[in-house]
Amino acid sequence: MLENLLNFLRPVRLYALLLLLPLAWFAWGTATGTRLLGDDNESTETLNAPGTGGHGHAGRGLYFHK
Amino acid sequence: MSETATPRPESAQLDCPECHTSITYYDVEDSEYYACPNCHAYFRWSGEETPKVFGNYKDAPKTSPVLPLGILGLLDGALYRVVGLTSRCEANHPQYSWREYQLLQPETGRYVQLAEYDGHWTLIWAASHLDKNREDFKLPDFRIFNKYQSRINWALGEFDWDIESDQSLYVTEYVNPPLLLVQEKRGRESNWYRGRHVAPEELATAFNISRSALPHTEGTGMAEPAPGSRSWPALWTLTGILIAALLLTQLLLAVRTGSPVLSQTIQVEPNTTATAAPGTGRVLVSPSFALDHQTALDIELNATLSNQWLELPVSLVNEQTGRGFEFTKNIEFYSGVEGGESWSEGSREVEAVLSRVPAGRYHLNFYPFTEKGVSPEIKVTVWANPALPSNFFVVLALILLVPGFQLLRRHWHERRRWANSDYNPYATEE
Repeated sequence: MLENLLNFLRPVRLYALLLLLPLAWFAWGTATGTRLLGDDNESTETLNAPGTGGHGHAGRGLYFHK
Repeated sequence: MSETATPRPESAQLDCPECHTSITYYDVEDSEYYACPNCHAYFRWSGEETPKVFGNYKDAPKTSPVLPLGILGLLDGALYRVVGLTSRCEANHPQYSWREYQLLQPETGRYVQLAEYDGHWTLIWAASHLDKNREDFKLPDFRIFNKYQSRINWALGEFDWDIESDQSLYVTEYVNPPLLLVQEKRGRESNWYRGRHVAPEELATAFNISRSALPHTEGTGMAEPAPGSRSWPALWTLTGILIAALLLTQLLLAVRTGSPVLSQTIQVEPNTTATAAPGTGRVLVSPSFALDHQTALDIELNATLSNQWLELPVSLVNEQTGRGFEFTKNIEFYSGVEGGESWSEGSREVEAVLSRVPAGRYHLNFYPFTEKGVSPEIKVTVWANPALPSNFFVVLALILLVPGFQLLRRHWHERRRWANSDYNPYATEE
C-alpha cells in the first residue's frame, strides 16, 4: 500500500522534497520554542535569545529584581 | 471501399481539368473528389473520361499549408500521410474558422483528421468497433461544448466524399479534456467521432517539422488539458497528507501545553512618591516560576477595566543571569449604551508571546501607568510550550502556496477554454 502511494506521488517527488523546507522550519520552531513570525520581545538584550552571549550587562538597569 | 488481394498502389497522378497541373493522389482506390493545389478547382473524378468541375476555391492561400500534402507522420504508433486539407467556418459565425487535415493510414486505408484552431490541434477518428470498449469515452463524462453547421472556405488535395455535402451536417462537440466526442447528424443518420488533444510539440515531432513552423497558440484549446494535469491528483494527495500530519502535530502540541506555569492576580496601586508622575503605579512583581527547558512563553493579561485604559510595560527577568525580555501592552476597554443600543470598544484581555526563553527561574515585573485614581486588577497567566498557532498557519500557507497557484492557473485555463463555447458556464459571471 505504501509502495502504491509512493508510486502515485512520484510525479511530485521533487516538490515533496522542496516541502521539507517549511516542514523543517516548523519542526525547528517547535523544538526551539520560536514563533516563526517574530515575538513581542522588545528587549535589545535578548532579541536573539538564548544565544546572546557578549551583551554583558546592557539593559540591566531596566529591571527590578526581586 | 472493398479490400483486394493486390497491394494498394502508393500514389497515382491525374491532371487538373482546369489548369492541367499534374496532381499526385494517394488513396488510389477510394478518392473521388479533388481540390487542385494549383488553381483550387474542386472536381470529381472516378475514372471517367471527363472530370466534373464544381467550382473554384478562390480564397485558398497561395502558400503551402503547415502540413504539406504528402507529408508522412507517426501518430499513436501509426504512420499517416496528409492527403487533404479543408478550411471551414461556422455557418452562423463565419469569423470562427479552422483547418482540418485529412490523414490517410497507407497500410489500412483508414482515415483520421487533424483539426487546428488558434494553434490548438485535435486528432479525430471515427468511433469504431476497435475502440468501442474504451472506458474514457463515456458520454456522461463529457460536457457539451459547441453545436454548429459548417461551411467550406477552401480545400486542397483529395477526398473520398463530397466535402460540400458536409454543409448539411449538424455537428455537436463534447469535451472532457484531453478527450472530445463529436456527433454528426444528417436527418436520422448519426455518426460519432472520438478525439484527443495533440500538443504542438507532439505534432512537430510526429511530422519531423520545427515547432516554430506551427501556428502560435492563442487562448485555450477546446480539449487542451489544464496545466499540471498529470501531477494534479498527486499534488493534492501530497498536500492532504501534509496538512493532516501538520494538523495532528498541532493538536499534540496543544495538548502538551498543559497547565500554566504562573496564574496570579495582581492589584495596581498608585505610586505615591513625590517624583512619580500622576497615574504611575507601583512596580508589581509576580511570584517566581521555573522553566526546565528552552521554550516559548504565552503571557495572557486580563485587566478589570471599565471605560479606562492601562499602559503596561512588562519584563520577564531571569533570576540567575539577570537577562530580561520585555514588552509593552496597551489595554483599553470602553462600553456604553447609545440610542438604546449597547456598544463596546477595545478588550480587557491581551496576549504576548516570547520566543526562545532559556531554562531558568523567572519572574515578571509590571510597570503600570493608567489614569489617575484607577487601580485595576490584572490577572496574569503564563503558559510554557504554547502551541503557537501562527507557526501552524504560516507553514500551512506555504504548503498551500503551490496547489493554490495551480488551482488559479487551472481556473483561468478553464475560463479561456469556455470563452470559445456557446455553453460557457462562466458567462453569467462576466
